[in-house]
Amino acid sequence: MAIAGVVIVTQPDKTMHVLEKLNEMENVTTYGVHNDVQIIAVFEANSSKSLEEMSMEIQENIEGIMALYPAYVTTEDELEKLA
Amino acid sequence: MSISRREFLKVSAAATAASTIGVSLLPGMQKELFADGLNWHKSVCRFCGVGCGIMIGEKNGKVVAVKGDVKNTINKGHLCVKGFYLHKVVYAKTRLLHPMIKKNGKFERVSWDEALDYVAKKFNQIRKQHGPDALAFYGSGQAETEETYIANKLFKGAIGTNNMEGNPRLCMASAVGGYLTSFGKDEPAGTYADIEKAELFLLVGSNTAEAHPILFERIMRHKAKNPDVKIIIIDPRKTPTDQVADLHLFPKPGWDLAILHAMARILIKEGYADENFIKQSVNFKDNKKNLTYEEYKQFLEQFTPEKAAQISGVEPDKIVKAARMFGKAKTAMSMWTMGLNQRTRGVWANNLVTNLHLITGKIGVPGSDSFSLTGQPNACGGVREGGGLCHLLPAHRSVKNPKHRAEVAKVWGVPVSNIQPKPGKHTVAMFEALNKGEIKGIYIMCTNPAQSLPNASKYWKGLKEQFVVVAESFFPTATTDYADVVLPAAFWSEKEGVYGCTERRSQYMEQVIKPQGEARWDAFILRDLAIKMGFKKYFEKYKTAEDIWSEYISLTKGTDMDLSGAPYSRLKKLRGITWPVPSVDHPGTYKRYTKGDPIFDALPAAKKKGRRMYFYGKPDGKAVVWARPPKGPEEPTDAEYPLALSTGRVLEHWHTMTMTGTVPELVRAVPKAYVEINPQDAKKMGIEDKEQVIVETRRGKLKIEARVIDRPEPGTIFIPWHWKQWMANILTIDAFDPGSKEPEYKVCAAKIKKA
Repeated sequence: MAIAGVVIVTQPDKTMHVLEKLNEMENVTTYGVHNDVQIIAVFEANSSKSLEEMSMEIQENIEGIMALYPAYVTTEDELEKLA
Repeated sequence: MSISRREFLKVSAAATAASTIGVSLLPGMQKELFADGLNWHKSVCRFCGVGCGIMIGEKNGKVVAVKGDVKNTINKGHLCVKGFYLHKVVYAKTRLLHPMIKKNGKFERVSWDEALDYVAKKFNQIRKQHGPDALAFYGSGQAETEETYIANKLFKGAIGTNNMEGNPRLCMASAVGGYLTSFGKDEPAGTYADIEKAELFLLVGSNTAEAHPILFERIMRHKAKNPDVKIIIIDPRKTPTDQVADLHLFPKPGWDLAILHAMARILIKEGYADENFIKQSVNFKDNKKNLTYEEYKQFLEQFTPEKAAQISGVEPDKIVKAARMFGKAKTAMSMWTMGLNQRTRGVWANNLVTNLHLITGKIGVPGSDSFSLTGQPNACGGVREGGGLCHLLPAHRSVKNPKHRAEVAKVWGVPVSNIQPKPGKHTVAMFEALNKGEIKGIYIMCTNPAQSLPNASKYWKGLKEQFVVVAESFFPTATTDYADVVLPAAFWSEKEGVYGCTERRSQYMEQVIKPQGEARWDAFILRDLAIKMGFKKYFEKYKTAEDIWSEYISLTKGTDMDLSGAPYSRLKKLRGITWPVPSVDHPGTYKRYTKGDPIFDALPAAKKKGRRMYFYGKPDGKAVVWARPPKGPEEPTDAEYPLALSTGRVLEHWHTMTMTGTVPELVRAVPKAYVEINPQDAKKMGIEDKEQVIVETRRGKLKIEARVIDRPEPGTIFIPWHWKQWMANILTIDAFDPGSKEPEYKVCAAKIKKA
C-alpha cells in the first residue's frame, strides 16, 4: 500500500479542467483548489509501482498540469517487510 | 492494512500537502495526526544543492516515510520526486554492509580492524618510501562538513600532503573562481529569499525544472502570483524549464560569452546602467590590466548584437530584447549551474553574468542577485567552506597564506610545517598522477570518479594500478571495481552532521536509525585510520560529531563566513542559518556586502562613505567588471565531428545513480540513457526515433538509443550522464578551465552514425 499527498500546480485557465479529470480517477481524492492554481490530492495505490504509474499517467494525460509536487509519501508496509 | 489506518494516512497526506501551500485543511489536527506511531526527525535532502528540509518518519528503528519539512524556509514542505523516494534508498539491496579487501582479484569480507590495519600499513609504506605527496584523498560535496573536516586534517595536517580534492571541483569550481575574481570572496551575496522579490529571472545554462525542481517551483509560484515577472533563458537546449520562459536564447554550446557582452553594451548605451553605483562600487579590468569605464565601453563596442549573433548563433533581436528586459526590470536575479561552470572558460562566463548586475546596480538589494546554484547538498558547506580542495584550508583560507596555515595548524594541534604552502594536485591532475604512478595510494570517499570524471576511461589505468581505498554506502560502483579495499559508510539518516547549501545556509541533520550492517560514520572511519597510522595525539579527542563541528566553527570566527554563532545546540532548533553568523544571538545574514551584513556594519564609517555596498574582499571595496575575450569551447565542431555534444541530468536520477538506481520507481521512470537528436539532424542522417546509434568523439564511442526530439538545437546532441552501462563520460573532454581547473563537460565535438 502506498499513499502520496501532492500539490498539483496547474495552468491558470486549466485548473477546473484538471480538477474534473482528477475527480474522475479511481484512487485519487482531491481536497480542493487553493491559491487559484494549486490542487491538493491524495493518490492511493496497492504498491509504490502502481503509485508511480498513476503519477505518470496523470502528468502525461491531463492537459494543464504544470508540475506535481509530492509533500508526503508512505510505503510503510513495503518497508516493514525489509531488513 | 486496516481501513482506519489507511484513512488516517490519507488524511495525513492531504493535510501535509495542504500545509505546504499555507492551507489548513484540518485546523488544529496536524499534531495529533502525526502523533500516531511515527517519530518524525528533522533532516535535509541527500540529493542536490538546494537544501530542502525533509522530515524522516521512523517506526521501530526503521525509516518508513518522508515528508517535506513545512517549517523549512527553502522548500516549505515540498519535495521533488527524488526526495520523495529517499527513504527507500536506505534499504537498498546494494548497501555495502561490511569491510572487504580484494584478495586474488576477489573481495573478501574482513573485520574493521583488519581493513584499517591494512590501509594504515599500506599508506605508511607509501609515505615512507615515496613521501606524503604519493598519497591523495578524493572526497565529495555529499559528505558532511564534519567528514570533510577530518579528512582535511588527516591529509593536509597529519600526513602532510595537499593532494586533497573533491568532486565539487567538477561542478562549481568555476563559480568559486567567478565570485573570487568579481567580488573578492566566494559564494553569493544574496539568498533564496530574493526569489519572491525578483521581477526578472535570467537562467543561464540551468535546467532548473529538472536539476533544482524546488527552486523552479518557487519561481513558478512567484510568477503565477505576479504575471509581470519575466523569465529569460540562455541555454543551447530546450528543457522543461521552458514552460515558464518569456524568452529563450539558444546559443551554440560554449559560445555564449559574446551574448553577455552584447547585453552589457546595450544596457549601458540605452541608459539602464546605474552610473552612481558604478562610480562608487565598481572597477574595470581585462585579463592584463585595469581599465577605465570608458575603456570598458570601448571594449564592448565590438559586441554589437549582430556580431554577438554571428559568434553565438542567437538572433540579434533576441539579444536586444533580453538586454532591455533585464534593464527595465527593477530587480533581477540570475541563476546558473553547470552550463556555465563546466567550461574551459567557466570563470569568465561567471564573471560576465555578474557584470550585468554590477553595471545596473541590480545587486545587494532585495530581489537582485548574481546567484550560482550548486549541484550537491554540501558542496558549499563541506568542500568550499570546509576547505576540501587542494589549495584551500577551512573557512575560505588558502594553503599559500602563511598566516592561514599557522591559524589552522594551531587549532588542529599539528606542527605548522606539516601543512605544505604549495597547492596539491587538482582533480584532473590528481588522476593523471595516478596514471603516471606519481600518486601511489588514494582514499576515495562518497563519490564515484571512475564514472564521473571526464574522459573517464583514460583514468581507469591509474585506478587499476595504484592502491585504492573506497569508503562508500553502496556496492558495487564503477569505482569499487578498481578498489583494493572497500569500507562501508553510514548513509543519510544513519549519522548526524551538517550540510551547507547554495544560499550559505548550514543545517543540522539528526541521526535517526543505526547504520545498516557494519557501516560506520565516515568521520570516525578516518579518525580511526589516522590513529592506526600513528596520529593518535591529533585525533583521539574527537568523540562525537559535535566535537568536530565545534572545532570547525572556532576556525570560522572572524572570517567572512563566520559560523561561530551556529553551534549544534542552536542548529538543532533551527531550520539552518545563513552565515555570517558571528554570535549565538545573531539572526544570520540575508545580504552580504551591505547593511545588515555584520562585516559591512562593522566597517568604519569613513571607509563606507555612504556607499550602498562595500565588497570587503577587494582592497578598495569595489567589485570588478571584467572585459573577458569571447572565447569558445576547447573542442569546437568541425567537418569530422560536426555535432556539439552536451551532457546533463534528468529529473528522476542523480549523478552516477548509486542512489536513484536503487529505487525501482525511478529506474522504471527513466530506465536507460539516450541521445537526444534534433529532428532536422536525424532526418539528414536517416536516423529514426528509438534506433540504436553510435555516438563518437575523439575519446570514445558509445552505442545508445536515439531520441529524436526538438529539445537540442540542430547541430547539437545531448546525453544524460547517469548510467554506468551507457557511460557518457567516456565521450566527454577533460580539458579544463585554467583558473578553476573545472573540466568542460558541457561541450565537445561528436559525430553519430547508425549502429
